[in-house]
Amino acid sequence: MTELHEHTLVPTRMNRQDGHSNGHTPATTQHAVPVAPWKRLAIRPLALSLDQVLILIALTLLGFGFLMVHSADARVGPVNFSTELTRLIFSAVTIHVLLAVAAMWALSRLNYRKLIGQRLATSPATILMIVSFCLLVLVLTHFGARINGAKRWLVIPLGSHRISFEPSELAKWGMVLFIAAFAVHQADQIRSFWKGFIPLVVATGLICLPILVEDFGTAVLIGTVAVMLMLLAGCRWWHIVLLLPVAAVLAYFAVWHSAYRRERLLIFLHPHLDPKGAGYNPIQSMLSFHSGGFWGRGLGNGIQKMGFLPEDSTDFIFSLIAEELGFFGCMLVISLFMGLTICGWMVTHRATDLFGKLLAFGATAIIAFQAMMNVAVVTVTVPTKGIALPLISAGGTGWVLTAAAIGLLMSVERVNRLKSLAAPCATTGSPDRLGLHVLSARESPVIPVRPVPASEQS
Amino acid sequence: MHKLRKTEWLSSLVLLGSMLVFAALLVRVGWLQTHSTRGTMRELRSEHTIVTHLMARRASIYTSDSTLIAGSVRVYSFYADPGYIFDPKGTLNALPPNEAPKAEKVMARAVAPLLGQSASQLTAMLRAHLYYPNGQLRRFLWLKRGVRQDFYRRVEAVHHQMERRAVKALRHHHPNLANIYYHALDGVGFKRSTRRIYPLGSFAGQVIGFANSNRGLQGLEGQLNSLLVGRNGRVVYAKAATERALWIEKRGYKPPSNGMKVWLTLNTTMQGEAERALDKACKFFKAHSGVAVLMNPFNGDILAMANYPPLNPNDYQATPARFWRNRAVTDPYEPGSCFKPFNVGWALQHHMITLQTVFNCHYGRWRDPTGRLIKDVDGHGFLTVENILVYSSNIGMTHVGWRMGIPRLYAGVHAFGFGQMTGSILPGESPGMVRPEDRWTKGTETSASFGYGVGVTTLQLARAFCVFANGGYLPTPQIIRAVEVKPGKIESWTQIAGPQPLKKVLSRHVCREMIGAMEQVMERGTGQYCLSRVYQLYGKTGTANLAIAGQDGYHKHEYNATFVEGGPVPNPRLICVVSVNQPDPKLGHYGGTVAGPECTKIMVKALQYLQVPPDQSPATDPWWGKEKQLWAQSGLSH
Repeated sequence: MTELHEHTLVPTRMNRQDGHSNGHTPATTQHAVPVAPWKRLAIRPLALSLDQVLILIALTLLGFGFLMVHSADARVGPVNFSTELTRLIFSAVTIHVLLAVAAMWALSRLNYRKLIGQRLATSPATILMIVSFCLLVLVLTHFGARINGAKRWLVIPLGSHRISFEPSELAKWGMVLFIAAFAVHQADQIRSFWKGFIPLVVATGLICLPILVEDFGTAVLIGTVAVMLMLLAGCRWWHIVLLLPVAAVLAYFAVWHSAYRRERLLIFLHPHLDPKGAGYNPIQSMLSFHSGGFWGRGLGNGIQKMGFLPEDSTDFIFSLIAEELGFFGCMLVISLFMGLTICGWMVTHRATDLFGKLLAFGATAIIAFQAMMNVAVVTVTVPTKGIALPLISAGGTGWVLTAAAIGLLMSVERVNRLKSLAAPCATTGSPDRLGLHVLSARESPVIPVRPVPASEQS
Repeated sequence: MHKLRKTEWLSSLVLLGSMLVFAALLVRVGWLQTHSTRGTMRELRSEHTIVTHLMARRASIYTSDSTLIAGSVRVYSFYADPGYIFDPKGTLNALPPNEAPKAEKVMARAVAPLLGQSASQLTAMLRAHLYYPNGQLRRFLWLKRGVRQDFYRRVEAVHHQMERRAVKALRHHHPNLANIYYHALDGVGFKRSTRRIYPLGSFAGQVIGFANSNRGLQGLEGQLNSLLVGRNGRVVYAKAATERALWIEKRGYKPPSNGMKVWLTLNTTMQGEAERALDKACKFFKAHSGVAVLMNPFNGDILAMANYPPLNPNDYQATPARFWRNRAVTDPYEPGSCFKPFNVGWALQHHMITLQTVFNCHYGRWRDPTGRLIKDVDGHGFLTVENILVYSSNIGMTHVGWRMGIPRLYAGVHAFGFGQMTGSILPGESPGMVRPEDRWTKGTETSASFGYGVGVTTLQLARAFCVFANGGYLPTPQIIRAVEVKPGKIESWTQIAGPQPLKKVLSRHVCREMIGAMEQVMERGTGQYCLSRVYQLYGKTGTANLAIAGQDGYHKHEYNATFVEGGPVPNPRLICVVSVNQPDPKLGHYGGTVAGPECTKIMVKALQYLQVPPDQSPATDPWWGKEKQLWAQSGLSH
């Protein structure tokens, strides 16, 4: 067997079929790996690999988002059906969805390890982070566009069209990539305070502070995930604990010295004190839930979207889903996110290298936390924050970049699977023994087990 | 590998946490969806829906021959919104503040001629009412109420004119001007409603009563309100936040169900005749009030029920409120001599007397066993019972009454339905005034035998008089003939209310005898001035002094003149009662002279309307219609 570099994608199936080039004839009776029967029943009949499950979930969420954004956008009145259909098909939303699918596909074909780079300074991750920092600073200048009172968008005039772009979305992924790359490059110094911990904190601060000015929710999200990644990357826990008072002071100033945030916080428990002001969004969101009830009003029948519910296609799209599709629509969305989280965790678990693990964990955590925060805001479980539901809320930047992150997740899974197939069950610590055994039947009908010769054992 | 193992347990922890949070959020979602308070739902309903009420039409009322007596017409009320028109804060008007005054001028110039005002007058009026006295901006002011369709059409025409002007201005590239024309009439509008009209004016005014746009206030309008109003329908629209209606909600349309049309038993012709005759009598004798009732004795249908002075429901304020009530059922009075036939009939039925039994009438002055002086108008000696009726002798009737005794007399009064509700559904009905049997004294016995000491209503009198005509049965007076219970499905009142009780009071034989005796009353007794040449009728007069309200004793010169009549004699078809209250005593006060002649007139007209063959006619009587001619030929007329 030729030595496989970990970057090389090997057509393992051919290798395995033609005459057992590894020099060992398989045993006449092949012993299957003892897989629990319920795992076989659950996964095998679907014949889906983990990355296929991932892409299915992602596409379902995107499609659902497409549907609900159009539902939020629907008009009532005498409309020309064909015009309406044309409007539906050739809209920016469609382009965004197509772009998102393309990005997901492209990044899933990419070998994620190329993002590590040769050196930290020239690594794509570092460059991405620097670019997003610049864009974030640019948003705060007069290049940024203020939409709904928040200055979060860069508007690029492009002929008759305007392309708006939200740099904080980019910064999220830049942050994750940077920490993962840093952990790989500085693996031996990560436990040191000055050489490992402080650079990461500075980088996080550089990203979070510009975001904190206009978007508290995203900043908190990025900060939390960054801290978790630092822990995973191997920082000492007491270094992290040192951060807590700083974060607390920052949060205090961010909340207490911004009038609308303080108002939102104060009004949160009693939104009816200010039903037309700060309490408006939570009240309308809750009313959507009541209006739909358990069974929902039916797709397209929501009333709250007719000017009552603010931001019905972006931040509060979950209320719209609740109103129109009832409990089962909400359950579908939340289940999909749970599935996405589980798949992401499995990818993390099966990744054999630190970069892959950190990348997979970061991507999964950001999507899951963002979904959680959005649903919590919409159900008035926490004070109102402007944070989108990933893959569902309208927004080109969010869709494309989140889909790209899922593409990276798939890439991690593919590369690691191919690696494990090249040397199946070579180590005792194989991911196949730990996680759910998700492999397509086509690629590995039965995983053969051979006794590992002592010479090959490392 | 150490590091990677650390990532594994940490990421598993995060996964576990995430799953828990997602599960908790799902629970929260389900809780929110299923726990909505009534207050929230009300808030939602008011925020999300526009409810438009579809008014049910108040049903019409007809006579038995389907002449419309009461109906509803669509009317419009014209209002203005001064707050919007002048818009002192500049927040209401659709036009920019510098153009709103121009629109106001255009509006005033267009609308003022319709209201019969000049534009400046209208503007001044609106401006004067711009604020309520408390300083609040007035958003609603009636300009003209209750106008008919033609006015509405004229205002519509003004709208069209404005539209044309707007289009013209647009063509001439004056978008601002077009906007002004387009919004000029935004501050005025119409509200639709209905108004109750009574096309026959005062026809049966007190019986029907009156109603405002949708609520019956008096008379049958009030009594049958629940039948007539119907039920309003509604449309529930979902609305956008901009108050735009989006669609009709599921189960949001309920059509209005109009009220049930009602046909009364009143006959247009007979009611008209009764009113005319009563009016004539009461006017001639300058009476305070009067009542006439015409009944079919066999089924109790009230064919006419007239009141004087009349009430025009279209303009009921013009009549004093004391004449709004239907006195035929609300006002009991002492019937006087009219009451005698009932006592005699009851005594005959119980074989206490025969019509040929003779009593001493003491030449008009007699003290009864309690020492009370009883007087007759004309003194007679010994009279048969028939002649007691014919000459209406109180002394003779006292003998009859004393022969019966209190229990039997009371049973008679009760059997003829006095002191009880008649069972007609006419509102405000009085049961009359008959004291309970244990409180009857000898004095009551004496009085009651010739019609004092008991209070009866005209309707009760007519009903009791039906007994002689229909062979001894006491009918229940009916005022409703039929009701349209569903569109296109008309049910007679007997189908709806079930069979009415019919009580046997007298035997046929006694009725026949009594009719014969009362025929004699008309032939040669107190009713001789009411004799008809066409039909042979029977009847009884009644002249009663009015009791002084609140104390014992009677007014000396205030009378109630009553006449009860039935006919034609062998087979009676109708019963008529006319009661004239307080005729001018200088002009007359006897039942036979005040009420009787008009009563006969009503009777004859009604019988003729029913095409009852006359007893006397040119065919049977060669002298028919010749009197005038003979009188003229005799040369004695001058």
